Amino acid sequence: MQGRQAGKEVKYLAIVLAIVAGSAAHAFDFSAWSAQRDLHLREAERLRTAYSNCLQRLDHPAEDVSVPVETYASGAVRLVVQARRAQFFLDSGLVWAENVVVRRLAPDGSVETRIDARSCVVDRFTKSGWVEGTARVQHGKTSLAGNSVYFSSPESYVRIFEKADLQSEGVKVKEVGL
Amino acid sequence: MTALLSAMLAFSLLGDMAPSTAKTAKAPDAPKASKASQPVAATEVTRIRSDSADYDRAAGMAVFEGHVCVEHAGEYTMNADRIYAVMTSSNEIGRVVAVGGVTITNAARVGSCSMATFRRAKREIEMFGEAGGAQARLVDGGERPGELEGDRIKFWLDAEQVEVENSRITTSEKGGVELL
Repeated sequence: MQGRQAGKEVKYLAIVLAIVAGSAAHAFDFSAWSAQRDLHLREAERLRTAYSNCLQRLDHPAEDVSVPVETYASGAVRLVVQARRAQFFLDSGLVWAENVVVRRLAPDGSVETRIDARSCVVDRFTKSGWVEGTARVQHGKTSLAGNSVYFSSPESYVRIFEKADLQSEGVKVKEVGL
Repeated sequence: MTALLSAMLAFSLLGDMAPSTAKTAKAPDAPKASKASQPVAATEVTRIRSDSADYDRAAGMAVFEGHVCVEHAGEYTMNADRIYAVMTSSNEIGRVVAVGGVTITNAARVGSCSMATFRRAKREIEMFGEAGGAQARLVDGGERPGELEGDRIKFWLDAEQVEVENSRITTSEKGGVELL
């Protein structure tokens, strides 16, 4: 067992070296990243449970709602949640919403990231959320879609638990004869 | 014993680049181009699907796990147990690292290995065998069939050069392999 574990560690080390090699300007601490990911997974589990609890407590949710969740020091909105139906839970700081669009805005008001989700719960304290069902994240020329999604706005982190699908556009420069 | 053997193969990794006879490979950073050529920008899409994924924009990292499939601009597909995608500052996929049961398919050419990397800017794929285990393997089932194994196999999408470490090469009479 120890040999197998050691083999795994060597493999991970090789991965890290492969990722970092040739990119000295982008040092990457894989073990720190993995530890941080474990924290996100725990937070995702908390929010998944919170989502179920919110569903049980739903009582005449408001319609066509727009909620600023996070703001910049200047007062400009940084994270806003729009939904066809939504309900606030003042005791827990949770917002449940259905047919949701979450926008993360730059200080100038332009959209940095957009999340479209069928149904979700957002924690106003941690600025993180859980999406039940399908969701799609668009950030620049990269889109990420899937089912059962956790996201953290402050850490710009998304975890897709089922059917992940990422598409990234890039510019390819190639020689074409005239 | 791990001296690098640079094997220049007429083992083109792009179907439309396959010549009818063996030729000296181009340097990877100097792909074939005519005098009247000029650079033209085009959009290419990389798509990665998997059972689950983590996308960490702050760290510039995405991790895909379970039945991972990478499709790059119709040029190749890569399957693996787990894939790490390193994003550029402009949020494009810059590098892909595939781990576990890796297969790479390009037209009639199929590669298999325990780990592989793809560097998008250099359009370079590098395959690694297991330490003390199975070597990386590249099989061309096209017009000029050939088979190649090594501890490390590196090739470029836009060039005909293949670099192999600790290699074993098998080709047909039509293969036209040139070793340096």
